[in-house]
Amino acid sequence: MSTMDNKRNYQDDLAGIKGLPLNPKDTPFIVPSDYFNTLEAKIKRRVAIMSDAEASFEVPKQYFESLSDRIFARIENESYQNDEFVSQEEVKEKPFIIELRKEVPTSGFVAPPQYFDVLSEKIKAAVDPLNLEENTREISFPRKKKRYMSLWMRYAAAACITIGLGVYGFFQYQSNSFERKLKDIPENEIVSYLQYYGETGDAALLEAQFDGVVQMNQPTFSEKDIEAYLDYSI
Amino acid sequence: MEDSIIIEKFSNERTRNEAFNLLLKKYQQRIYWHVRRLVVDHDDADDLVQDVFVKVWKNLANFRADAQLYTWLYRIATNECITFLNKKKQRQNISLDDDSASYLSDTLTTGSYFNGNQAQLKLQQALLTLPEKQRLVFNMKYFDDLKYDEISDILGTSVGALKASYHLAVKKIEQFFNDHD
Repeated sequence: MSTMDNKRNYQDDLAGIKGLPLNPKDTPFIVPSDYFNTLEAKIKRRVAIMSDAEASFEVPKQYFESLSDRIFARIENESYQNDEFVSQEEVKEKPFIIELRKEVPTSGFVAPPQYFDVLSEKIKAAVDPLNLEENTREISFPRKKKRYMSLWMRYAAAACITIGLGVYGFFQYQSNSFERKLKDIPENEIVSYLQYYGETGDAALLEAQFDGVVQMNQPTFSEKDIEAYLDYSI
Repeated sequence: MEDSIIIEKFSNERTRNEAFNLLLKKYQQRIYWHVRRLVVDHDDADDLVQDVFVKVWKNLANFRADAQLYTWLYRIATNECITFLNKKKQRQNISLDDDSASYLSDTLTTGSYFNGNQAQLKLQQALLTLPEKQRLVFNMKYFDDLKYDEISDILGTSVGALKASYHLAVKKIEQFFNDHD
């Protein structure tokens, strides 16, 4: 139902376009008048001409049997001629090359003295580790097992180190945590707290801990002040 | 010593070192000069020749006997040289599309171990203006006296293409000599 509707709508839309045929399947192409009436006769005439032409040409006997041989012979001959052509080109260039060979027989590069005497040794030295590697491989344990063992041992060693470091770190953290908390409290607050709530001997400890911050042994009142206070009080 | 005997000795572990010594004795100079003419600098050639023979040591056991040993050696050496030269170009910020080896000109004139006369220097300078392939083919034909078939085996290029490369190289070198008389 819906498909039908869509189709109808589509055709309605096309119908609205000026110059477009009502049926979308109609092509805009046209043919000359009487074209289809004369087409059959034309085709028959062409066929008759082709048949006459085929009948009028003849090939020598066994022409097609020998054709391939003659084509190959021709290819060979042309290749030979091409080679000759290249050779001639080379001959044409040769006087320059011949002269050049006389004038420049070698490249002019030289090697250091006794270079080739030591080159063999250098190469053998470069090859030697490879040689050793190959020999070692022959007498070694099965490679897979060795690799598995070493891998297992590596994991075990790594685990031991991790546990050890963890335990050490935990105790370090515990011992340092009280000091760390104290560090966060300003020194003056600690001093004033201890001045109010301190016990005998704290003063000496504080002085040692906070050198230069407080001086607990210093007398707070001068002797004169004390005498004046006593005179006034008594 | 025949190559086949060297290969046979190399296949036996007991005679492997002996075979390698024979191989070095027979081919180290040829390979050195082939490499040297391509990379110009002696120290670079020295490193590359060692690399080539290390590769030979690693792979000779897998060498197919139907190929010629020296063409195989030349192929390894040529590939090593081309890889090295491409890396050198990249290090010097030269485009890989720039096919000539003109960046090696300084090495030719300032590097040690070049004892050539004026004509030899001119030929080397002319060669450095050629595209890499033409320089390679010319060197192998002119200095190593290799045949086109042999060069074709080494480079994996058709004989016709090699002839064309050599022909063009000769033409350009002749032109260079005419221009620099």
